[in-house]
Amino acid sequence: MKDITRTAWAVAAAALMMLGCGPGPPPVAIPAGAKAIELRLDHLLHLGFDVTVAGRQVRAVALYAEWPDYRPVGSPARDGFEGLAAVDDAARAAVVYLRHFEQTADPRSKQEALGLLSFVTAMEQGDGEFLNFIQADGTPNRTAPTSRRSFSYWAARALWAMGEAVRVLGPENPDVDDLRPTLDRAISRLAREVERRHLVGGSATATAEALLGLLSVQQVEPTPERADLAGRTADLLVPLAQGDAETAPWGAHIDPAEGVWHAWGARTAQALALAGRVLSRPDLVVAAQREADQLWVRFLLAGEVPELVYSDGRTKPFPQIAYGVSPVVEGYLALADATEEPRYAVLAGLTASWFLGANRPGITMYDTATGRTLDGLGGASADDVNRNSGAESTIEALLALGSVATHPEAAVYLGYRLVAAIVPSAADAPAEREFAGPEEQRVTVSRRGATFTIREPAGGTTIELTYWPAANPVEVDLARRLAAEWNGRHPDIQVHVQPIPAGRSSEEVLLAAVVGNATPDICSNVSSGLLARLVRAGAVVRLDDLAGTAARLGERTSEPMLVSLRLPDGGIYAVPWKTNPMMLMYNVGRLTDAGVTPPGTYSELIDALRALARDTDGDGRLDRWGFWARLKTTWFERFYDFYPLYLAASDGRTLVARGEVVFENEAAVAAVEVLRQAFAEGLLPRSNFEGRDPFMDGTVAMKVVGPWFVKELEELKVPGLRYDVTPVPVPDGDDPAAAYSFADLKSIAVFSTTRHPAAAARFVAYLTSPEADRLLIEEAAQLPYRRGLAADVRFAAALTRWPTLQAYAGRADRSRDIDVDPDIVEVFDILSEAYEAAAIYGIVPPEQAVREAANEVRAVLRAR
Amino acid sequence: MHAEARSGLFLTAPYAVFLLLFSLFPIGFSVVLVVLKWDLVTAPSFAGLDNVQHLMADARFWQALVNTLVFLAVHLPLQIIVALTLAWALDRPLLLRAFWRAAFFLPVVISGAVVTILWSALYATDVGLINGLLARLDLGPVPWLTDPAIAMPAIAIMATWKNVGFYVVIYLAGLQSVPRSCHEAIELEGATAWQSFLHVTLPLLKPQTLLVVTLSTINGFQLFIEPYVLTGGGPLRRTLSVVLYMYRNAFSYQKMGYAATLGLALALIIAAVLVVQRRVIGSAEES
Repeated sequence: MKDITRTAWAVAAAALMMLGCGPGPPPVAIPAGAKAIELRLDHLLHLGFDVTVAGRQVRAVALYAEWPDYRPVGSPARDGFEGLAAVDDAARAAVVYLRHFEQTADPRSKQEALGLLSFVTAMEQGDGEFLNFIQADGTPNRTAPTSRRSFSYWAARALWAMGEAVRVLGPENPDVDDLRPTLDRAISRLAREVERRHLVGGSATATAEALLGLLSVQQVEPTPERADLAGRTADLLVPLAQGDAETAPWGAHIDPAEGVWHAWGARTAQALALAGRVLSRPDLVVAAQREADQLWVRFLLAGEVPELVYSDGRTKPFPQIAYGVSPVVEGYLALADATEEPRYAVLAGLTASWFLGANRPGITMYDTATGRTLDGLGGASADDVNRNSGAESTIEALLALGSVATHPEAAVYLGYRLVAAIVPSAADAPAEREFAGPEEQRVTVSRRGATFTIREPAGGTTIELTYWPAANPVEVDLARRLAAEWNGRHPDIQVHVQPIPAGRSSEEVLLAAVVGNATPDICSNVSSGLLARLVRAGAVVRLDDLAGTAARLGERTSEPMLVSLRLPDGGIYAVPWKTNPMMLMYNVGRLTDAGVTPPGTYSELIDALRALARDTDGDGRLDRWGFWARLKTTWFERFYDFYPLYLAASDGRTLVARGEVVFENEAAVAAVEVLRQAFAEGLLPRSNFEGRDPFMDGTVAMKVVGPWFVKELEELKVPGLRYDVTPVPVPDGDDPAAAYSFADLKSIAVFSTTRHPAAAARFVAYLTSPEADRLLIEEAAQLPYRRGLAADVRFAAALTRWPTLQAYAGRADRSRDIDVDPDIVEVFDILSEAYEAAAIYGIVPPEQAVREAANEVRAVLRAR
Repeated sequence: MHAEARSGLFLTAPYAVFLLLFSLFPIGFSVVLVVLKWDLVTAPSFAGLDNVQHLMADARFWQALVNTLVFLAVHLPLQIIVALTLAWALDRPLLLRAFWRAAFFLPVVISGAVVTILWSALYATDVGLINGLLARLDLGPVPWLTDPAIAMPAIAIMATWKNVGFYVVIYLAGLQSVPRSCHEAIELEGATAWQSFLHVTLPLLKPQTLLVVTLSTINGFQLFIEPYVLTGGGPLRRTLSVVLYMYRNAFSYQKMGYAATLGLALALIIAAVLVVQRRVIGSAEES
């Protein structure tokens, strides 16, 4: 027997080798420089401590930590022992934690943020004014000039943090209720300052930070009054700009209190750019560009951001601290968002490289293992390094790097170094400077009058990438437009579009391509079902640790949106591109005629089906129905009935997780039962409606479908058909609005056969950029898998291009796809047959059907 | 080697190579796959007799086999009766006989998928042509493809329509080879036309019938495109054929080893059935 076994194995191996069907391609080598930076909060957490302030248990961060042991300490004698912690730092630390929570859903970050915000609100004095410092025992310092009760720098930062809390946590969040009174008083206090045309604390930087807070609230809770206040606040900042492209101080917004441009906290351009975007005021964006294009570009050309720029153009280069670099980085990024010009993001990445060694002594300021950031350069001499690491440096580094890490065009330039020597004066900055990447890639920044350009010489070799979009005409056109745009901007990376070759399904074509080692560099039609197989075959590249795609994932999604897409090793191997969150579409006229409202629960659904079932021609047989549940058992048919109902009922629990069955539960039974009841009462048609869509011609009044259907419906519907959508019904007592939708995701993967994974990741980041996403909505009526899509002003106009798309967009980030499991098709087939037996034919009780299907799926999972 | 032998080898080589590459190698490869677990994209692993053991206990396989037998039970007799009847009719003097012969053969050369889509329109419960005709007769609609008891016979009828032209040609050839003298002899004895058909024509058509049964059985066991397009194997798995199940395992689940096992089992079953058929029909012929 052993011999037979050996012989069989040998024959098999030989045969397989003949066919070339061995293991997948070897893992592709990823250049170190293409890797994403990891944001570490360890040191910031290390500086945190609990304290009681005004009778409240709150969280604070120690001001300083001294080399070499980095033990948290308070304000030194030099500063008059102001205290151990301050609102100034706590507020900004809260912003760091809130942004981290936004991307990762890490409960600890939320907890830290809320604790710090409690401290911030405890320091408010009942009228919108704040104290700043506390001693170690929690006693506020009411006497120091940097701490006394006022509406000044620390109040502005408090307002910024509270605004960010509203934006990130949501205006309806109960956690926000606790800080709402303080926030309202702070905004009122700001309004009084603005009314008197006073800058906050007499400072442009403090006013800018207050404006950032106000705009954060306005983004998620827009009101005309707040928009007006934000506009008037911004209008106070605009006239502070002085000089022009050739005249010092080159568009700098000069702080009137000091008469100089101070890098520390210079967030004026950032606030103006954001205001321009949120308030739809292009003039404010232009005002922000004035400083960035003329002054900041000189910093890059000189090689460093100085501490001060005087009105006459002289600069004071040192000390350089994170607090001076971070506002410039975030300002560039705000402009990149406001103008959608990637060149600003490039400058942000290059400027942020200061943290990783692109500075005069070549010191790495940010420790990638702990997040600890050194306190500064050049305190005493140009080469002097302050190795202490206080809260402010760490917070500002995390703010800057966190923002860079969510902007692909910035992230890929993080870590570039200066090629020529630093020029000590902005006035003497050369017209052009070259930067070098970790793989010796080169990028050149040039100033031409009031503007600047970015140039990436191809170095003699042009990278060629092949991109396979889905073969339907709309997506092919979209892909060609985007590739043409990309090719124009990136002569060094040229993309060739080729629709997925013909086949029964793109899954089969891609698997065949993997077997034949003929995969493209990039494909944008990868389903979750296929992805697990591709990963198992080593056919795709991990994307959540490549700079471009990691940044896009951070910008576009949140951890809850990604959790079900992670493979067992925790990796994301395809960027989720577009979603079709399923909702219940209904014929408005039919429902109105029948006197029913769109059903939200199972009982309402059954009642609606009873009311909508009609015999219109009087032949004794029904010819109009409320809903059509498909009769075929092919696995994907359940995407339109059982699976969306199940996800909505199960709070987003899917079918299998980590190789275990998770669908044997009440939600699955309930979803089968409601359809069983409908079939048993004869309320659903027992027809396959071959060759036609019974919703389009009015035969059925409701269907579960995604937004992709809208474009088709608009082209083919019977005249006069009015439709709308509502969340999929849920079991009685549940809230349909809070339920999960079926995402029906399609993702973009980079195949291991590519020779240029970093370049491919950059192109994938471009395909998923706001610019490309807007085209996806406008041209294809499909939705990008994007966090907060419905409330994002950048997509507001595009979403109105098609009916109901706005409602669909509201479901985009509360949706679940099918499991990324190699056996998911078989799992669906098994479940589909169980559903058929229980719901359509009623020959097995739903509970038994679900139980038997679960057992059968367990056997499948065990056997692999 | 003689020049003649060399020429022979030279002339047969292309076909031999073709046979080797596209028939013998796949067959051998399929046999090897039976003892492997392979998903097409990762390295195969040795599975011993796991696939065979799974097959023996796989309720879906046995149901698919029974479904296929149900299909054959309807399709085979229907095929023979209709083919013979049409051949008999087309063998008579008939207006536009060439047209009718071509017309009945036409479905054979039309793509199976096209025929299936056409029949899905005929069988549609609500707007189908057949149910439309039934409605004119005041008869209720028949759920042709959604009733578990009717779906497979409906598919068998469709398959018969698709293939019957081919078998008509076989029977026609057979009918034309029946000696006229035999008919004349029995008619002189006073036999009716029916008796002439039953006692002369039918026995003389046994070779053709054996061929029709053999080919129909082989084709019937390979039932795939019709349930694949029309029903997907439902309702209640009643139209799941062995080949459709094999296809699913191979290309939906990427279980190439198990799919090969199903294929091998199907080949053995077809061989066994054909042996029995030949013995039964052959012994009847001898008697």
